Amino acid sequence: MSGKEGILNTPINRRQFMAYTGKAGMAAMLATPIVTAACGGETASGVLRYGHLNIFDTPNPVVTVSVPDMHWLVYDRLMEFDAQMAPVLSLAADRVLSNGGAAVTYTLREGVEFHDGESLTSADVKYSYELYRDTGKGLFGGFFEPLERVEAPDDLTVVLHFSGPPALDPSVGAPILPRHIWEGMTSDQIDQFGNEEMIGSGPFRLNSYSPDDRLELDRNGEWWGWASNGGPKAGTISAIVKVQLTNEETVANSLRNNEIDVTGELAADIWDGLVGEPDIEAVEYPGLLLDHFGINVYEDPDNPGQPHPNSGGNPLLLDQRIREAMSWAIDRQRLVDIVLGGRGQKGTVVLPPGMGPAFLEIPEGEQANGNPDRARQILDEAGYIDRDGDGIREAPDGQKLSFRLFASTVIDRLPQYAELIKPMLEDVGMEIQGVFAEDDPTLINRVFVDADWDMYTWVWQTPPDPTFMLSVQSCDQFGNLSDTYYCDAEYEELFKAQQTQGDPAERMRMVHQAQQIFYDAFAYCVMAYPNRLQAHRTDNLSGWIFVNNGATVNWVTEQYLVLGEV
Amino acid sequence: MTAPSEPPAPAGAGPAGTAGGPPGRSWLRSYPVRRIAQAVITLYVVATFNFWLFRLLPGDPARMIARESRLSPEAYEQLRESFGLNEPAWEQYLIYLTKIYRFDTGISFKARLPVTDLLRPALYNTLILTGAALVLIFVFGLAFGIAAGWRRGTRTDAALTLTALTLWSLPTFWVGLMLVLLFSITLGWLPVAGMRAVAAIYRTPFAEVQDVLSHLILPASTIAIVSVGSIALIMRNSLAEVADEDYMLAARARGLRPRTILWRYGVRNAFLPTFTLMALTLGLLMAGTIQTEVVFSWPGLGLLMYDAVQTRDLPLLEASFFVIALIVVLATLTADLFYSRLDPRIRSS
Repeated sequence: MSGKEGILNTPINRRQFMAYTGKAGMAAMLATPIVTAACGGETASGVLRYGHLNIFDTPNPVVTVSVPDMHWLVYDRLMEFDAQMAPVLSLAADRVLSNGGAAVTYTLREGVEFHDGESLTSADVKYSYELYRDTGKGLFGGFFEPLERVEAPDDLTVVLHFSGPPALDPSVGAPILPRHIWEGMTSDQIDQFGNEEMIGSGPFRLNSYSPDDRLELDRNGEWWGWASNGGPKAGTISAIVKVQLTNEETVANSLRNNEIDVTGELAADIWDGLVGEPDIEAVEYPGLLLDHFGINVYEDPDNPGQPHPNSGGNPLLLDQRIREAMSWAIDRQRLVDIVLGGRGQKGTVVLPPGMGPAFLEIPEGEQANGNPDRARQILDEAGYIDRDGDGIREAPDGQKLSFRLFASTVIDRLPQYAELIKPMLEDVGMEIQGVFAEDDPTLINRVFVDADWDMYTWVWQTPPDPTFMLSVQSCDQFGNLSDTYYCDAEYEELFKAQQTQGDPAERMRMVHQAQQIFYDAFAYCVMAYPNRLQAHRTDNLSGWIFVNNGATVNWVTEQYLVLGEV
Repeated sequence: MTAPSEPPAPAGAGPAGTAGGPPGRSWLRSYPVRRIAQAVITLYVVATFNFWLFRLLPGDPARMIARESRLSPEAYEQLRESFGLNEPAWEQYLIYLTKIYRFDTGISFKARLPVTDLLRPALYNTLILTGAALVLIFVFGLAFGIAAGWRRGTRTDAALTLTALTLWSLPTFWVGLMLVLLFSITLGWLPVAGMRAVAAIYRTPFAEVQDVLSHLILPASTIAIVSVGSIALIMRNSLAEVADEDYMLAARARGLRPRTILWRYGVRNAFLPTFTLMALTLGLLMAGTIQTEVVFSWPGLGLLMYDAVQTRDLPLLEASFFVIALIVVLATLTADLFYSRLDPRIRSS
């Protein structure tokens, strides 16, 4: 034994090992600053570096369901949204309505070319719009349903014939595709078309794309819009690089470290951390978002008041009085203060205030909100009383007011809402099972396919026109967009009528009335309207425009005409 | 105390395959063949498991794509048809196996690009990351393990063992965030995320290498910090056991220098279990880089899988899991085959 201990206690070994370890540590410590000092390539000037959680799903604009900000930079549209989200002319130089608004004649700009040098003509517009309509694919397909036919009488004229005056002309969003590239592809081939060259006619052209990593766009010096502005101004950005970062904390840190110039949307707590940072401007934009919890009201049309055979929801939720009590039990201002850090407004109707005149203002005193006593009173009067003294109310037949609450994990704030509303509902005598947090695919299947839930938290991001958000509650959307299985004949009639109502004032009246009907049904509890929170650096680029719905969601062409080096 | 025996030939030093085990070339051949056959069977089981597992998950991938798109029922059906989702499950399974055999991984549901086009760069990036991490783990793990094991029972041993255990128990994402906070945000020395600077201009190829290296330091260090403990502890325990062997005492009695005793008889004999662990670590690192790649937005296989899970991109999920399984199986197989060369007793057992 003693011999072995002698070996282990040799003093030379100790020094040696300490020396080795110390040297290795020192080498690592020294290597870091040395490599850093030497690293890098230098950053190109006049480049907009945009950090976001997603670049997009695919470069294919026909099948994409992502926010199409990058597609809109590569592909022209006949019209576009301006900074205030109002539709304005873009590739079209003129727009004339006829046939009571059901026919729209566009005159295209002259001399427009695709990035590969081919001319863009009305035949490309006709081909694109018919493709969207006939395939019904992607973000834009559904908007072309009312399009009956497209005429292209000459190279610069396109006439769209709708079944009635369209509330939202789909020309404002749909990219114009080069017919010479897309024509001849079958529907299957389009589904599987990677579109790696991304040939469009817009102000930027594809330089490189690495999926889930980065997209590099270069300025298209031949773009028609530059000519009308006397060419690109000196110092304006010559390229855009959109990088995919995996979480908002990384986005914020990359901005702090001057690795990106602008962020996508940030959560309130992360955004707050950027306020006051040197060379960073944290900006709050009005948004087109609504956070809500949707209630399963799937009713059997053949047996009113009874659950649909395919519904897995609690039948008690078909009683509007319970849903109204839920709405009264929720303190929305508390939700806004805690979950959104005060960066938003408390929710009421199904359209967000960012929608402008389409938004129905419910007077403060008429809002079913933040009054647990009123909630208890409604339940008492409806006969939902705690008969066995366990703190949970029962229906007259003994069935407990016990509901399952699900929360999507797609956005951090949705489970947070759920955790907050759970005690609010329990406080008025309901049992809330959960919160069950589920990822997006699982919850989508549960709600939109299986209808097997009671309540779930979700967020909608709407286009600036009311039609999309109102359509979610349409009877036609069961199994597709409807996340309540709500169906009401009067609402349905108003929703459909407003789509083809040419008189803006009358249309707004219909839109308001539809919102009121849905609000009074309490199938939704709209919790809050979050603001869009973003940030950009001020030491590299200047000329940021204050844009309704967020600067990096509503990419407006004007932004690229003025954004340039400091 | 029995008379100390002659020290055994250090592993790998003598003619491999001559010590222990029944002689005969056919037996020697059969061991690798048997191991390779086992590896192939393992891969088949993994491939089958992958296929059924992802189809058992709730959520219809076509519905996921259609979710926000006002997709008509006809368009929805057409989408399912395009991606072969309407075929019976067993038929999809046979097509899937055939495609694996042909190395045809299909088209990504999300990106609409060939899955191999997505996998290739991601795998390359992950190999860079895990390779760098493995070097760090190897160097520091062995150094700490040897230092602790050779100084068994001393304060150095206690301190290093405690450090190794502490590092081993740290959450990967937390270590990553702390390193970012210190080296990127506070000191401003290293970049926060990605593999290359955004919009960088490289005047020379070396500048690009430097840029990648600067982006590599933090994620590789994160993996190394949380993994170095296991290697250090295995090496430490192994060396401590070897130090008790009679041939070590005999070497000391022969008057050999401590450094010679350590490296020629101690480390070389203690290295065998560590070698196995290193080989397995390579495979496990490939599968375990998800957290690190997510924290640092490193565009590797882990990040690709993370995104594929979010979008139920079945072809991409199946292919990426299969690639990882392939790497783990190959790493294990390589370790087994090499180990049998290093330690002939394995072949005879």
